[in-house]
Amino acid sequence: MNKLKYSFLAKTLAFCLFVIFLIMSFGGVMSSIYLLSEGYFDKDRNFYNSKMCADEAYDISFNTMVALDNLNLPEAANQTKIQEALQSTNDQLLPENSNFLLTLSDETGKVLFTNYNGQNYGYKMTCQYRTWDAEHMYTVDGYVRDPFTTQDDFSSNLQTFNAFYSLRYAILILSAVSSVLTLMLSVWLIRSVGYQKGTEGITLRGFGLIPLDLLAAGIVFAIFSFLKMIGGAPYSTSGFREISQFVSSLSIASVLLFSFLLSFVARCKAGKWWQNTIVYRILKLIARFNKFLAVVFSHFSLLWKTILLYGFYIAINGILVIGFLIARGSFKAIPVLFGLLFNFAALSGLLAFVLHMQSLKKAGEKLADGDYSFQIDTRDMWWDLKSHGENLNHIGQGMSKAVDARMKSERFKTELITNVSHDIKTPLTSIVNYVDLLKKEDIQDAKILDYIDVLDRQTSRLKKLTEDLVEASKASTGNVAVALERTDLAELLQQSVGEYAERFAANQIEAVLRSEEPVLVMADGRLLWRVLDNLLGNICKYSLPGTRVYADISKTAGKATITMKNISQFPLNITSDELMERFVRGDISRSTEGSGLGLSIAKSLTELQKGQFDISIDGDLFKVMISFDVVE
Amino acid sequence: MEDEYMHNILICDDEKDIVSALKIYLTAEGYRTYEAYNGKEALLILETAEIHLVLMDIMMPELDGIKATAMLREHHNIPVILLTAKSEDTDKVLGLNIGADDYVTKPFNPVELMARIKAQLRRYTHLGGMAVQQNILCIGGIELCDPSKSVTVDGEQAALTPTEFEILKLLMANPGKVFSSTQIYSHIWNDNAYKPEGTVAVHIRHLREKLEIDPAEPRYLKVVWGQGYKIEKGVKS
Repeated sequence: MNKLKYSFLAKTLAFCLFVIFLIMSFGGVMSSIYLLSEGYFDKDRNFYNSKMCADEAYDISFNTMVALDNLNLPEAANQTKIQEALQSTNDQLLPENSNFLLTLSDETGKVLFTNYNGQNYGYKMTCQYRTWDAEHMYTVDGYVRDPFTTQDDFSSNLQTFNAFYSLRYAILILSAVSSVLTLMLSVWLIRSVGYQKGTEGITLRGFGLIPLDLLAAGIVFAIFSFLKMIGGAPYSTSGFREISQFVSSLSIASVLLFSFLLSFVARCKAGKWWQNTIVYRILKLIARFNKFLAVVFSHFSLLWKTILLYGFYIAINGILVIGFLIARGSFKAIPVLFGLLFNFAALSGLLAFVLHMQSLKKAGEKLADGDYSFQIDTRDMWWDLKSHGENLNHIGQGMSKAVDARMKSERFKTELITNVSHDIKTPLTSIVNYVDLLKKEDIQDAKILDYIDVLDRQTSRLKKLTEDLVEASKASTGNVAVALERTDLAELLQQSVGEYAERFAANQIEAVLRSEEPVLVMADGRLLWRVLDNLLGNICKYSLPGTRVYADISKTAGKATITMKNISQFPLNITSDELMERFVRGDISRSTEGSGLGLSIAKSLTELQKGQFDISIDGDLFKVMISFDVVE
Repeated sequence: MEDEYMHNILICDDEKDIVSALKIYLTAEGYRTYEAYNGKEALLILETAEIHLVLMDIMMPELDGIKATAMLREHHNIPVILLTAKSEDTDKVLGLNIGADDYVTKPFNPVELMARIKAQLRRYTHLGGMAVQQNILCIGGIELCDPSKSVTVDGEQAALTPTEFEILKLLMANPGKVFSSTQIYSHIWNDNAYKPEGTVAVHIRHLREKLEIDPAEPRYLKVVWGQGYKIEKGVKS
């Protein structure tokens, strides 16, 4: 069975069988229905009490009455004509001509004609007939002979009746069997449609290649034209003729529809049946054209898009205005209505654009403020707006990643430096202590004393270096507690310079302090002292002996600035920016005390207090400026 | 004073070299030393021996210096000086709050440490409950006697110049109050024609060197940067 579905011959054969069985089942079913309604299956059924017999009897009676009634017409009212008519009726109903007998009587009961005189009959009927002018009322009593005396319509109807009567059960069985077979064949055909010998899967051929909607239209057209052809056939009184007509039209329609169904099933099996339709092809073409337009449009710059859109807007409005001018009477409302709708839509689009533009602007401001976590919702945006929004989002993401990584590495560095310097301090303590113990020993050897001196100097340098390192890393990462309060710069400068009075004197440096009245700024005095401590320490270390150091405070445009100037002992072969870098000193080759972190710490600490720290170098003149906003 | 009585000092540090260096210094100064290498050992020694002062490292195995100090304070009121590599302000505050009397950061200067030990011992043994006399200003370990124009720090005489004495008197008479350089100048010199040039600052600097063990981190005479100077009000003694 399964192999057969690949055989074209088997399927053709099956289809032919299907058609035959279909016709048989339709015919059988319709005949069965007819036989049932005609009472063939009733008890005691014979020809004389069948509808077929009664119909025939009625026909003859009617014809006779019509013939006789015509005699009442004025121009025909003569005895000869009546006699002739009666004679012809009598001739027609002679035993050798007809198996029918009748008695015709008028409304008074007077018998006008009869050939019934007690013959044996199988069926009797009575009917009445009113003449056209309503003067007479004829009554006909008809009898069907039993047995028949001649070959006439009754005898041929009897034959038909007998044939159907004897076949009535056979027809029932036939219709049932052929219906079952039709069903089975149709199921098998549906299952096996589309398979082809030598190929895997489903292959569409013939009908299968015609677009589905076209095929459907053709089938519908064919069915209608067939029905029209059959419906135009001459009318027949015979029930069987009608049945055969009905059955043939039904069969043709069914076969065509079934063919269509088979083709549809094959397409479904092949998948995407809708693709082979004219409607789909047209829609696809439209879609492709739209896509093409969209692609072309998207390649325009924003300027050209705007111009095009504006042109489109003007064109539509122009068309609507022309429509308004052309239209008459109440039709003028149509362009007005469309115009309102279109302009409302255009305004909505413009507003949406402006709103999106606004959110993009906001996002840009957030980015500029350093809020990199802000993300724009670009789902409702389009074209350049969308791509612009996505770009901004990417910038934000990239920046926040970079900032995070930077923060992490800075934090890691600070932690590392703090931990390492803690670990260095413990052995350093031992070294400091034992060097000190060595110094206390009573050593006479000048060389050893010299060595101890070197050790002493270098350990104190190492100590300073570790301390500065921790402080520099903390200051540069802002890992220092800052308590800003009103601080008098003049007082602070005096205090700081006072602290250094002896060291200045020892280095033969004269400090010149010029400060006005109290100058109040918001600063952390403790941190600012550490700034000045570093700077004054540098001055002591690097000033040319015998020179003056100028420290003064000036107030300009809401800013208070501490300026310190000194003359460097060594040429400053370095830029001011480089000087503020960590681990850089004025002269790289020199190896005096100091860690080279002083200026870096001073700058970081100043900035932590929201102040500005600047260095300028002019020849040997070294100048530091620290400024803060003045508070009243 | 030290001749009469030998003080016992407990050194507690997990670094053996530091312990032995400190032992050398302290023995040279005439103290008897006990050694412990973690907090638990220190507490054990405290139970058996009579200790007058403890040098306690903070970062130690088993039991750290902070916890050991807290436990020690339940039974003893002897001076405790913390030694540590941690130099954060918060660590110092924590150490002092927990019951330590002083705090020295590593790497420390041995001379300074000896001075601090001496000061703590003097205060612990001799200055406990001295009656406050009239005309004597007393803040922490500093005593200023106006009639005799003499100043002692932890019982030792400090040689002050008359100007320094006047400045200290002004500040000690108003403990906790901040005086700006100008205020101090006009008060001491009775002169408003103030020439700054750091005159007051220099005197204060000298005063600090005479009164404080570590002038850079004064306990009594504090610099309020950008505002002035003051004597700390509630210094522990």
